[in-house]
Amino acid sequence: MSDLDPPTEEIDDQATERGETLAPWLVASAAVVGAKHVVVDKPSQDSVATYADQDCAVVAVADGHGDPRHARSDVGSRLACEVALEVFKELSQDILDQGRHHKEWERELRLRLPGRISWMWNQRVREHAGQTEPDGAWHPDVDLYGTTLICALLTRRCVVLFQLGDGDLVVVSKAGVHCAFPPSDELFGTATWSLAQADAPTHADLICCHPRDLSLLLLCTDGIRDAFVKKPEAFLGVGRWLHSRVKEEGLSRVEETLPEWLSELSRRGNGDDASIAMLKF
Amino acid sequence: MTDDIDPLGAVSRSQLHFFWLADCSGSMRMHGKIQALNNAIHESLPAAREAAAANPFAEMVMRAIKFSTGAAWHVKDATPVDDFVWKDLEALGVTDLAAALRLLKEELTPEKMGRRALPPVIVLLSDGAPTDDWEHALMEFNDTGWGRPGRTVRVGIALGKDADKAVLQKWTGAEETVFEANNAQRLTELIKWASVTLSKFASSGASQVGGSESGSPLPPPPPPVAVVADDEDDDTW
Repeated sequence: MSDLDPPTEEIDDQATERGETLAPWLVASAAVVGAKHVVVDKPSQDSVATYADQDCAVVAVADGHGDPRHARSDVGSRLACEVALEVFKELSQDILDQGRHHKEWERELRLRLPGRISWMWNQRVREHAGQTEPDGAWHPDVDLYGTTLICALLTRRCVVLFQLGDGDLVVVSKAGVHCAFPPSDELFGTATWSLAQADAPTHADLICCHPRDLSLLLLCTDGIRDAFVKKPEAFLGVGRWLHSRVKEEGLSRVEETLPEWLSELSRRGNGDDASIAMLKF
Repeated sequence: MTDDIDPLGAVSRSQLHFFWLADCSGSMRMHGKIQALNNAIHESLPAAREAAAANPFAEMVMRAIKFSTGAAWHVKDATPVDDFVWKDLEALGVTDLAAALRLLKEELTPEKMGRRALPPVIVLLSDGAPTDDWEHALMEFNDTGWGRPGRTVRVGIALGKDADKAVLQKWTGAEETVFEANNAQRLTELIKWASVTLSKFASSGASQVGGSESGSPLPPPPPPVAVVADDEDDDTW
């Protein structure tokens, strides 16, 4: 991590305060160690990060794979969130400066953003692995750090939604609640695409849209959806319920109570880590 | 008050699907192998129930297919291990493994199992060589959603030295997941290991990277074979 990248927690606190006072959008997040991991004293493999200022808001969640082959996936997920914040903050300036239509951005970003995120994550991970001045090309060492990444950028002109791997990016809008990206038909069981794959950029999904009509974004690690395995249709109810609560109680109050709710979900469900980042328009 | 209800009420544990594929062809009558299999599964159930009770984050459900001349469900419904009852199998007929694989294939669909689930555990027990077009059936099985290599935890248990281990290896995809039982005690050990250790392994829930099917982790091995005297090395059922 460079000097330019303050710790994620520091970014979260400062950004949330700035977002609530200066911008028309708010960000919040919560992450809990899964009940199964609490029992064996294993750290969470999830990471979350949020940022908001007058020009943009960024939210990110990442889910480290957690098995012995990816023994440093908790670090991998933290680095993924840091990279997401850095890349999206830079991108927000381009979007504000250039004022292009969101579909133009979508065409361009599909070509370059997955590769950019992958390159920067590989580089950070290889630095963490002890390599000297590595570039961002894939290297076998990155496998230890395997993680997913879901992130979103909001500016007044354009929203960018990005997902690589499992988990869900839930969109609450005037039209209802839906997942931005359907699950891959190629994946079964606990399989996921990963930033640690040599061809990671080819597995990324990205869309851009106008922020008009959007109410709330929820970025969820797979621990949330997997808790509804017997009633998968109930998963989108999380979006409706949180949106309703945010409207009535405010985002800060929801953020305060969310860890307890996530812990209960993990305890009643499959015991996985559970993390949510929220962006309220 | 919010109009939408707290979705916590819809939360549930993951299900771990466990399948026995049991050969009950006529040769299983020789040396009492079929009774040894029946006894081994009876004996393994208490340990499996104990292991399931110790895991509050996954519900283990069992089913069984029997195959000889044709194949049929021995236990068709996905039954919680606490309620699972093993009725003794009888041995008669040939070894239609293909028929068993086709039955299993009908269940392991995304429509019936969903896509997000713990990897099902499938244990194939056989004492001989298939008598039908098993290779074609296996190819079809391996080409379906859940049947694709790496999406299930597969083990083959050879009952006796006459079992065709090459077939079992083609089924599991790895030599390391085929085991030989040459006596009732070893069979019991392997069946206990399968129902306890494999279910723990499959319910770990750790993510696997997509597209790395050949790189799926191997399950922990069963307990080592007890040392036997030279004259006891052959099948002793």
